[in-house]
Amino acid sequence: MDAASMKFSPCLQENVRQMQEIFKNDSTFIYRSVQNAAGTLSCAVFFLDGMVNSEMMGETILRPITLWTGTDPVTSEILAYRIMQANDSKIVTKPEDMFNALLYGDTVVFVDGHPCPTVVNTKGFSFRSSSEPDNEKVIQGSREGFTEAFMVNLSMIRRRLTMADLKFTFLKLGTRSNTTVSICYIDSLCDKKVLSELERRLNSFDLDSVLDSNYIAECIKDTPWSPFPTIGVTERPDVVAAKLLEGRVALVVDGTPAVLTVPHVFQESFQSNDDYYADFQYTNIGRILRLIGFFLTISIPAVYVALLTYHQEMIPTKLLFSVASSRGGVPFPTLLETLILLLIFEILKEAGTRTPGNFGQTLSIVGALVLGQAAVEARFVSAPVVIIVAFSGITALMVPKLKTATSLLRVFLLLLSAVIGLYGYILGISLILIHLCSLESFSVPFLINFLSVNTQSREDVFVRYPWFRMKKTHRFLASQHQKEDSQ
Amino acid sequence: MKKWIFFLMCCLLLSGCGSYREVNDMVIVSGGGVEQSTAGQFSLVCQLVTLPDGKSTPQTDITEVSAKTPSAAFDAVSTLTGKDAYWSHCQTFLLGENLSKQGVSQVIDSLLADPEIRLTDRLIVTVGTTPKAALKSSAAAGEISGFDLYNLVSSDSSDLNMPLYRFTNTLSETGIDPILPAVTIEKTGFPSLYGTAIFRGDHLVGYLNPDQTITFLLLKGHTREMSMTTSDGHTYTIDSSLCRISPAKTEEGLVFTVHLNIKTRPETTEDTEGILKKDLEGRIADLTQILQKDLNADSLGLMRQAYRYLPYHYTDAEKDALYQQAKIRTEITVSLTKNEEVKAHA
Repeated sequence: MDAASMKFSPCLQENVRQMQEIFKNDSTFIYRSVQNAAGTLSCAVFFLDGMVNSEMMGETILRPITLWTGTDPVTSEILAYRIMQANDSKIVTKPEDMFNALLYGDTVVFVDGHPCPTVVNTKGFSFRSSSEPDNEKVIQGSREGFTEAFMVNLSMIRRRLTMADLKFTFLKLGTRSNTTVSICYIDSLCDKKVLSELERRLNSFDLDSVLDSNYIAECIKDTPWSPFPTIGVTERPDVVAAKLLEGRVALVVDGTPAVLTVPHVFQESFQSNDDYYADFQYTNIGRILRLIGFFLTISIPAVYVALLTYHQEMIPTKLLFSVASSRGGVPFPTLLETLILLLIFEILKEAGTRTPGNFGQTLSIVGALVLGQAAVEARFVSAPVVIIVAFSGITALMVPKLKTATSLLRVFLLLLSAVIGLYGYILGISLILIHLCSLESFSVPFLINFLSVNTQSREDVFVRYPWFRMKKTHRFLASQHQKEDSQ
Repeated sequence: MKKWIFFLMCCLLLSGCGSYREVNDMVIVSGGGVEQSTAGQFSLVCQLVTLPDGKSTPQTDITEVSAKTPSAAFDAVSTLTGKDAYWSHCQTFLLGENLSKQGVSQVIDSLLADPEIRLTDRLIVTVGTTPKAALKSSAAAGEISGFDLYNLVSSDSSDLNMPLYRFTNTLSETGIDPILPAVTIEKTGFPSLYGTAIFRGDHLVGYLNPDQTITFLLLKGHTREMSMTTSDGHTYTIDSSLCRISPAKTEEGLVFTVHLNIKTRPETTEDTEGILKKDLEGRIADLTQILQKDLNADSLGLMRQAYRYLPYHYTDAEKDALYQQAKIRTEITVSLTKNEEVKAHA
């Protein structure tokens, strides 16, 4: 017997039999028969061990039932709203609703003589406490980060935006995992076209399980094969709140601290929380450096190979002497040497990411210093290539949100440059620009504010204007609505 | 459409590898020169930079090849060394005295035909020595002699600083003959500026000594910070000079008036201006005598002035005769630089 074949019955024993049949071999499934002293109230209580708060269940369900002294027949309504002292209880009429609730930490109570059970919110599973996300650290500002607990995450957003306009729409995704997903938006600010498009894509979702928000992100992305992210991801509630205020829509997925935001445009990849929490003059330097860093990380290896294999005349004479002497005795061509080192760098990065704690630091030191130096001394690679790859790798860390793009485009430009020199590099840059111009995120152009001639829309692109100059105009998606509001 | 784009990309990407070259597979040329033997063979000399593994201090090696044409000599270098000779970092190109006298056009054509040779390469004529000896000469500490020769001529901002493109332009221009800096090797083994090599067309016809070169440069235009020793033994610093040569057609024939305005210091006597003016008049007369009569080379570009401003009185056929018979007058203004100006300049 499976959950779909469950039929509610007025007979308590029949309901118990069906439930036990469905959850057989599940040791966490607990059934308890409860009666009051007079024997006028007979109930069956079902819950999953570890998912409920036992103390709350005892106080709100078991104790009131056992102490019930009434002699009249008890219906589900009386049980739910008069006997039990729960602040969140409801009568369900559909078996799938009951199972969804039971599997998510609620307690199901059947009363003898009535088919519809009462579901009481007794969720009490343990979850990680909130901590600052490792990949979105700030110098000053909130240290709070999302956790794996769905409702806690929603409460973090709600706490920052105490407005009736803030909406949370729930839906279930994944035919097997039944993962709860919440679409969050501010009704008066969000673009309804984006919202309806998001709902359409979510409804056409066809995966049997959703264990992380990335499952959804990859399925609803505008251009799935593009290395550029057209869906934003953050683990910080303050960032989600800011994006909601800009008219975006957030997608909170149960079981993961990563919250998706749409639409996501190119400039967001260069934005950091510190840009808004620290002094604008200082943080703008950082933002400009991130923009330059992205350009450098994809360009440096390509330009190096192009100059060294095709355009030696562009290298200053003394620098050419230095590079040529350091390449003496190296057996590999410049391209292969660069590709090998890039691969080694990616391996070290991957190993460092997967390696726990302090050992990761040791690995980095061994990789970067010992391996690099030893490789140069052994004439496997030349010293300039180590510098080039290291610099390219370090600058890539400045824009972690574009890590896929930097890794792939770096190699793409490198290969083009190795084939036709700087012409290849320029061709590659042109192709990337064409691709960027063609990208959209939920019908919003990916380069929306980079290409805009409107000065107001550039207030938070290359640099952030001071708050007293920005006011509300930086909310590019919401600005239209605000204009309408003011009229 | 996608097939066409794929095809175009393939064509584009697969056609580029031809100019691929690793740094290790080439030998960098830091200086070059050509001399012509009496038998007509062109002897190309290259200063090649060799870099010992792991050491950034370069060492040089001189390679010499002979061929019937300059182009064949250029090709022979790579064959001889076993690596591609890379000329893009060569900054100076020496022309032997014998070659210059025979005519440099063929060599210049070869240089222009080679895409690696930069148009900014400085051309130098070697006097009393060969290009090979000049490239073997001593250089400043830590410097390669090929680059040292470049520093020697390029430090001068005047007309003696003659890149390949300017020499070629002058060579093809009507009414002016080119010049090049001339370099010789001193007894100490270091190269030094000998003076100015005067060409008539592409043939070397003579030289101006350093003193005549100063006068020549004064007449060529705006010159600063030069020292000039007059016949009375005093040395003057010329802070600035401005020269304009204007042609006119008179009953005497073509007359060119040199308007020279110089600012100089120090004041040596009460009549410093007068002494200098007289001295300069004598110098200019001597120089024009050498250029007009002795060498018959229009290095000052007098006929170019005539061609531009007096086109009805200029013909190519009579050019030589017109130049030989042209009168040159001088209008010299000498002014002394005030002490305040010297201080401000300092």
